Amino acid sequence: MRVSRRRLVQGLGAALAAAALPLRRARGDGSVERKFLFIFCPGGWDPAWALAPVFGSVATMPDGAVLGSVGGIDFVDNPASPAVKAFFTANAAQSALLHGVEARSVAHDVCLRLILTGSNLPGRDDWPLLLAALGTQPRIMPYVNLSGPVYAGPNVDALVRVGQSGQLASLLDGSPTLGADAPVGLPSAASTTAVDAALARRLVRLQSAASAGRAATVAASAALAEERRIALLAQAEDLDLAGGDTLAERAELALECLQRGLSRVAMVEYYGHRGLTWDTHGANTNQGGSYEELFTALSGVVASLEARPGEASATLAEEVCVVVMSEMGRFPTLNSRQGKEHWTYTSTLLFGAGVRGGRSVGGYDAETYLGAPVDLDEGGPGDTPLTPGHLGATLLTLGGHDSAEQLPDEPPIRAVVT
Amino acid sequence: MSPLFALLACTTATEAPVAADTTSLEGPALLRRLSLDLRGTLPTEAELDLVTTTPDAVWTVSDIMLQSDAFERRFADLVAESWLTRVDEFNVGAVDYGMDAAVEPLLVRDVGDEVPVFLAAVAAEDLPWSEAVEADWTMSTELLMSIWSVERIDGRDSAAEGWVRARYTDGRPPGGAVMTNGMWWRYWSAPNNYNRTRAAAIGRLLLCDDWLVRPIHIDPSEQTNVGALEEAVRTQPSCVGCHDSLDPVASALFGYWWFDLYDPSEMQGYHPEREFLGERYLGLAPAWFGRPMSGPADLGPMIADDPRYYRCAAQRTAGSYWRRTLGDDDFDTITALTEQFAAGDYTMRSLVRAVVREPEYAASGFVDPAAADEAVVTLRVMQPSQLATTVEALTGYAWTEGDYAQLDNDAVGYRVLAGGVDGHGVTVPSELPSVTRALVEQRLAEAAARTVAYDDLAVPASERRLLTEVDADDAPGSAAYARQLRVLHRRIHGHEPDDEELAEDQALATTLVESGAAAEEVWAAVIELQLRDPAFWTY
Ligand code: HEC
Repeated sequence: MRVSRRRLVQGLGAALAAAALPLRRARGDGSVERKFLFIFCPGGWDPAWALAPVFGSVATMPDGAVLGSVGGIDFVDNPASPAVKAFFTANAAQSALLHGVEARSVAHDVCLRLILTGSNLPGRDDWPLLLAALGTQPRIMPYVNLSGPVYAGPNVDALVRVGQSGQLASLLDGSPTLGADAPVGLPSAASTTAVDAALARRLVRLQSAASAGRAATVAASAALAEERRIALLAQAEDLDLAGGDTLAERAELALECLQRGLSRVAMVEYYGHRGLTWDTHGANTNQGGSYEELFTALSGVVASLEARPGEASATLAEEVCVVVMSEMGRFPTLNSRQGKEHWTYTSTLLFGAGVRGGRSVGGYDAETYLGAPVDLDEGGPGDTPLTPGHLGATLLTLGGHDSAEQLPDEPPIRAVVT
Repeated sequence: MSPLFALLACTTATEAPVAADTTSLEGPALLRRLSLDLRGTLPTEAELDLVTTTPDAVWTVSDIMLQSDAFERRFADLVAESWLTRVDEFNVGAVDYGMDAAVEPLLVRDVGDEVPVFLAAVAAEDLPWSEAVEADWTMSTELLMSIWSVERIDGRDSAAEGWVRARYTDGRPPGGAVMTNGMWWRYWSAPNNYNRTRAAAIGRLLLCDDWLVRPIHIDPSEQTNVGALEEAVRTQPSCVGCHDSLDPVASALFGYWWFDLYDPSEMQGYHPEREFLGERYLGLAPAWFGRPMSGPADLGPMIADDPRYYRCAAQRTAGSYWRRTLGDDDFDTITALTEQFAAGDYTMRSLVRAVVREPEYAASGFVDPAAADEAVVTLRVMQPSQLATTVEALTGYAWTEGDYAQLDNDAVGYRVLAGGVDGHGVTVPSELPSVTRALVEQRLAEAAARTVAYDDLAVPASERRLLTEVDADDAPGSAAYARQLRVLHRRIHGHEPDDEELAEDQALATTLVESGAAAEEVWAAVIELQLRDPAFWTY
């Protein structure tokens, strides 16, 4: 890691010129590394309300819902969420569903960590951060988290959180220290340039002096952080990182970051219809409104991906894989408040670049509602119960990385990778 | 293995460092580390002078630091970081109490600070650590006392501003931290969870025995009826392993059971009349790992009677000061620390003293660089709480927005962007620089440097904080200028500048003077540089 950081930061001096990072650099073969947009639905969505047509099982299904089937994708055609059908009708060929992924807990905190890192131990990087850190191209914000959960470990310096009230944007424009509590204003541009230059020299010296271990890592990350700070300030002149209130707007901002090559990975959280959350311990019907809004936004994401130029391809659609997920599922039957409790098995939707679409892998047992074991290579029934590790390995594979080193016991679900 | 994965492999949280020979900080550098960890501020010039001439005096100074009020405040910061209590939101807020929304930042921080400030008081009073779970008192503020059934009592108040000794008057049993609203507002329990989240928090925070760490695997052959989850918990072997011990602890907490999770009147008081519900809902009477409790009043004493409790305090405390998570691989280290804790009558000061005297604490590098181990934090990066206290002490600048401390919240502030924890999503502090940290440091340094430069040059030298050696008309290159630069470096970085740094500072000042900048602007730039320099924010 340290070695690769060193390589990245050799140009610190030069980076003082604003656009020093090569923002649009294709790989030798003309391809560009795959990028990722994560849309995270916290609280535990109910697959039975849209994604998993578990008709005839123990699960309570939405009123009036029927089995929908298009282009190899079976789904729940729920009158409350017509956008789901519209999405799959247009995009089944590039969409894959994973069912019965076991998050092995029923507590939100634990499931979040499990589904995003494959482990319940702290200090592990989550999938988005890992993908960002493994990226081979220099990026200013390798992983930009516009909202949503984050689990950070050794690669935390690849993470940029925008902050829940647009804090990053205000740091960039300097406004946070201009308030009544700091009556002295900002330094002049000339002063900032001179201080930045002196600081850069110190960071370079620190790097050459630091010998090994943590001190060397700190020195290398400090130099890299400074290089990125300067480049990000330049980008911010025409990029509003505070932008967007709705899921659709936030997703657009995420795509803008990917299109500009600022980031390899972006995450946006979708808290549910009218902010009601996906955690429907009461009134499970709220899932319908949330899926409707979510899939409306997803159709917008597809349109935007197709309209935007890619870094090295005709369109961004050729470069970005979209991952739509939640940390858990919901208990098959309704409780006394017409809600559903937590369930450790859940579903994930993948679509876009690299995804072998038109297929669903896994399922839910009609009696026990446990995840059905699968054949990872073929996608049909088999003997491997799906875990978050399989999901992570699949994402690493989609990213062009060998997942075996990181997740030796949990191979990727090759059935959904082109 | 690629270097990336080598790093990933060796910084896994629970892996103990390999026993490579480390080099150690000494003298002023060690003093600086101790001061930032024990007090959250930089050493004074007098302390630096003393330790420069007499390096061994560092441990005497360290013992004095341990006795200071600042130790109590810093210890509360460290508790908050590891207990994850300083969240940005609770189920209810100021508005639910009919208060002005502007009170929210104060309320949310007071609730989040109850446990840390209380535990820091137990530490500061040299009470045995059993008091942390047995005390019949807590710490409270005017605000909390105005909305909860808590009254001020005689006794030592906290060194934290506005915190006084107090007691709940709603009939709850004594139990220190585990009988506070601060604890159970943070670790709340949804209806069908039946206080299990809370029992798990007790295990994790007080025993370092996390019921959650072993993943649940539901064995399909055992699962016969999806509707009978609560039945399964008690009968299925794959559930019983955890729930047998977890649920009886949960059962002891039903005085905190809320029928409505968002109703202040439900949440603020203890409900003695609901204690019996644990047995009814969970089918199990309160017990501590097989030892029956006669009631919730037994919870604290039983925790304090559990040998894991003291080991866990040693494990967590070492983790806080060594900046890594200790785990099973550190068994012997934890045992040794626990013995010293016992020898010190289980006072937290005796434990902290032992922790900072272990070689790992002072580690600065490796005798053989090829054997360097990333797991040993040989260079620390200041946490946002330390940046805030240090910069304020140096320059007088406190970064606030209304009643929000901007380095201590993420609702409108910059805590996570600066590497801190938010208590929910980000639960492990970042120990490395990042682009957002660099931006936070820039804005903080700009504002603090400008504040102190303008303030200082407006008053006589004797009243100044940093610019004690110069006047507005002294020019770069003058003796006064050089003296001032040396003072700045010593104050901010803890050591004398080298020639290159001095030349850099002089050049920076000269450039700005030549461009016509006023003396305040020039000094602001020079100070800003020292504050953004890693020599300031690492230790
Ligand atoms: C590895 C330990 C462990 C095992 C094994 C285990 N549990 Fe749990 N369970 C927990 C913990 C810890 C909690 C509390 C989690 C929290 O809320 O933070 C919990 C909470 C629960 C809850 C409350 C649910 C909620 O929605 O908050 C239920 C119900 C439950 N477990 C059922 C089961 C069943 C059924 C099994 C066996 C199939 C089982 N557990 C096995 C540790 C375990």
